[in-house]
Amino acid sequence: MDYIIEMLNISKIFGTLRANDDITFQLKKGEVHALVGENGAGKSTLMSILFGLYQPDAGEIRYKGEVVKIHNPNDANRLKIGMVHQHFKLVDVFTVTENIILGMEETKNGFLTLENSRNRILELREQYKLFVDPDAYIKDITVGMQQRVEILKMLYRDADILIFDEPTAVLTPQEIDELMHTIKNFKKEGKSIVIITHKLAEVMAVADRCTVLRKGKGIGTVEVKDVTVDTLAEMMVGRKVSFEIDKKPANIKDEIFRAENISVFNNEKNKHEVHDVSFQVKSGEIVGIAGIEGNGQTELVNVITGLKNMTSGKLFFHQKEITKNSIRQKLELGIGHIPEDRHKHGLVLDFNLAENLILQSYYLPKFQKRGFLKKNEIYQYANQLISRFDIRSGAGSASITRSMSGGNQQKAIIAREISRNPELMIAVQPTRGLDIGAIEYIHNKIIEERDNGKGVLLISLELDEILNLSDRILVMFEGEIVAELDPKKTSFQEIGLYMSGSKKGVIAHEV
Amino acid sequence: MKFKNFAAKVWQSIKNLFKPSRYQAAVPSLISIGFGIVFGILTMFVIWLLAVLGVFKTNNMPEFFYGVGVLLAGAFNEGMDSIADMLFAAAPLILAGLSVGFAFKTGLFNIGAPGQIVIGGLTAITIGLKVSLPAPWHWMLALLCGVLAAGIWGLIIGALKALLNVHEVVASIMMNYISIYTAFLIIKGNGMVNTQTSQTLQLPASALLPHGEVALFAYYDMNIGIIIAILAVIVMYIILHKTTLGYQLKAVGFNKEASKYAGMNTKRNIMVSMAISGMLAGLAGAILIMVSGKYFQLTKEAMMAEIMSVGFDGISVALLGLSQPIGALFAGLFLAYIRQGGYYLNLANYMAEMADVITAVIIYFSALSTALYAIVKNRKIKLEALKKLRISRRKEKTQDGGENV
Repeated sequence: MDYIIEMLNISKIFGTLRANDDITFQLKKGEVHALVGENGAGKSTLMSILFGLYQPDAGEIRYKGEVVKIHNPNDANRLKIGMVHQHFKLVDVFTVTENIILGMEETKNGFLTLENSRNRILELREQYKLFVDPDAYIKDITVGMQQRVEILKMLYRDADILIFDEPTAVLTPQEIDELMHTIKNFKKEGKSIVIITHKLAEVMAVADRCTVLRKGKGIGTVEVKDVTVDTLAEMMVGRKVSFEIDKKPANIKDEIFRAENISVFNNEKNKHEVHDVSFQVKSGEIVGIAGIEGNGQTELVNVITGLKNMTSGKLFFHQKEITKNSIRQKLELGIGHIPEDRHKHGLVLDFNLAENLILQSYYLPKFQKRGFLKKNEIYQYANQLISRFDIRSGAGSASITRSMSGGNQQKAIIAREISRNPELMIAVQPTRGLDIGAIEYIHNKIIEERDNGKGVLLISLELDEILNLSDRILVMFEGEIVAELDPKKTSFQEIGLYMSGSKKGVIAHEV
Repeated sequence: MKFKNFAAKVWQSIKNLFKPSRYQAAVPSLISIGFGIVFGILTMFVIWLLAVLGVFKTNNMPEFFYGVGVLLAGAFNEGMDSIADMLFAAAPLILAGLSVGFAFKTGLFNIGAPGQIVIGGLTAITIGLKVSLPAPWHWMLALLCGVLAAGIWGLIIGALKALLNVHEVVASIMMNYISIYTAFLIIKGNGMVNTQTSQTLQLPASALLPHGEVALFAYYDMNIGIIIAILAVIVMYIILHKTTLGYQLKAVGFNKEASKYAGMNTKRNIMVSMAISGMLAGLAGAILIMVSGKYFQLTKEAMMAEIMSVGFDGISVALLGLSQPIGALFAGLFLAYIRQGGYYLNLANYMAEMADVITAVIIYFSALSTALYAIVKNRKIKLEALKKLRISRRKEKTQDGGENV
């Protein structure tokens, strides 16, 4: 057998959670091996064990047939294992070179000598066509380039086994293509590659073999050329999955919301986070905003909902100006907001479910009388929402939300927002980190809102989500809306070009 | 036989006391109290041992067993008299604990309670000396004004935080110093000093908290302070758990961003919260000073040691009471109890400060024990999970084997 790494019968337990339950994973030399599964299936845990970040509770790891113990990332480096984490581990204020050599700096009389390292990096850059400027600061380069820095970091350490944790989550379609190309190059060089992902299209495109995990258990390893996307999806989820979203044609009516020339200037960064953005949302339509993370989407939403002040611009709701309205006034007018970060904004994690479900409406006569909370009504209301939206938790309405799963936390937020019956629903990354079942559910709820004549503003980094749900797509790049597209007439590639700023469109202002 | 049944019953009720999950929150506090007392007894033992071995010489040999008995007997050493003493001492501690704990609950660290106590006391003294009114109205007015003034003092800290983003700890510490010198300024500037003793003048009887005539309230220092403290505990419990105000304040305390997202006025809530916290501390200050034979000593050191220390004790009480109103009640009573024990330790030739050693250890442990408790609990859960895993594996194996046969 020419397995370079074998992880045999690995188990890892966190509290009551069996993150890895008797998983076996074998990596052949020179292959691209995909590790797929839904969020929480145990992919990252398994690879973190291989990289020495966790110790397995049971099972053994073999390197070229010999049993090894990997206590920490240094041991992993010695075995020539390198990993690109989902969230890059780079120092913002260091240059590319400094980041790459961090931890194995060359010194002379106690002073740093960068010359040799820099040359070595230039060599690697040529060899693998990974173009970055070795003298640029991390904070000044794009996310795609930062990923290349992470890759160079592994190569600089002579890694032969390369682990990529969700490498495409933050990339544009063009950058994804480049990455796939790079991975194929590595394979030619004889390196062994593991890609952790939940995007099956990538598996089909680049991987030789694929191991599927579900809820901490190994479901099986297959040759990619023998299977279809549908089989893989079924293995991953445990039942048949339909990727098609059932959507009636839109019945678009009057304008609900309009933003005019919104700008947000950030004094610290001395640049516009949002620049001169105008758009409208009509009754019965879903407007999707696509863009790479950090191109002003978050700021735009915060300005609309009132969490942040704008530098200039105007907001209209049913033709009435609401620019100066407080957050509560906006909520009362009928703006619903499914926030980007459900832990930071969406929930008070130490409150129980019932208390979280009345977060914006606790002061209404329905829930209080002369300043005293009506506990009975509050819990009754919570129980209604729990059964209507199928929110699952340990102790029903009295469960502390911190103890609930991410999917159910998100369901709770969606239940709260939809039940307030808003005219305009702003959904930011509503399915981030959720499993396929929950995603289907949330997508259906969003479409239901649209079919009920509400306006939906959907902001997402997942292009699939934008393309499948939206009736109209806006693309944001560096704080500006650079394109307005019809999802039926556009493609991944076209949106990708706009997202990366390589193409700028003409926007027809209907206002 | 009868005794055996009785003992079993007691044991069962003790066991039940620890069983239900609603008590679970108190477990870390009880553990740390246990550790504190054990540590205190060990210290006393070491002191006794050193004295017996002649490492240090003393004319008054400490008596170890007697000392431990006295310490643990706490407020029961001299019957009703010492119980009354404990309740008297507990009242301001409970109120100070409520003040700090309430601020904790709403996400603020009110280390300014000592200053607010000074302001509460100062205002009560001023009303007591400068206003003449008949008995019930006089002390009520003094109490009320003390509460309000300290509330404003707290509000200033809250406003600095909410409007100008000054951290409340920094502002509180500054305000503590300002409060001392403000007190000196007003007291000296308005002729409220007894020049011979450099203390504030004796308050007229109408401005003192009333004594009772019956039961415990007839003893020595005892007054209605403890009743006020218990009422405050009840009121704070209701505010925190039953009202929209408490709901809002807790929401802001747990997660400011989410509260803002939900349309709450976070700035106003921070100010309200600090004002309420200040009012509770002010109440503690007024109760502390509206007693016959209690004065402000007009030096910084004496103010720190006698008046402001109650505010710092409030932090201990809040920690031990897990920031809950009911917790503050029990923690305040416990602190007063163990101090009474310390007070009588003199009889066994130990220093009264032994009680403070114990308190200090308890506070260290209650800061640590929540973490320790969590570690122990996690380990237990993990071991159980591993056990289950092994059992299920074994079952699978035996099943496989069966098929082969």
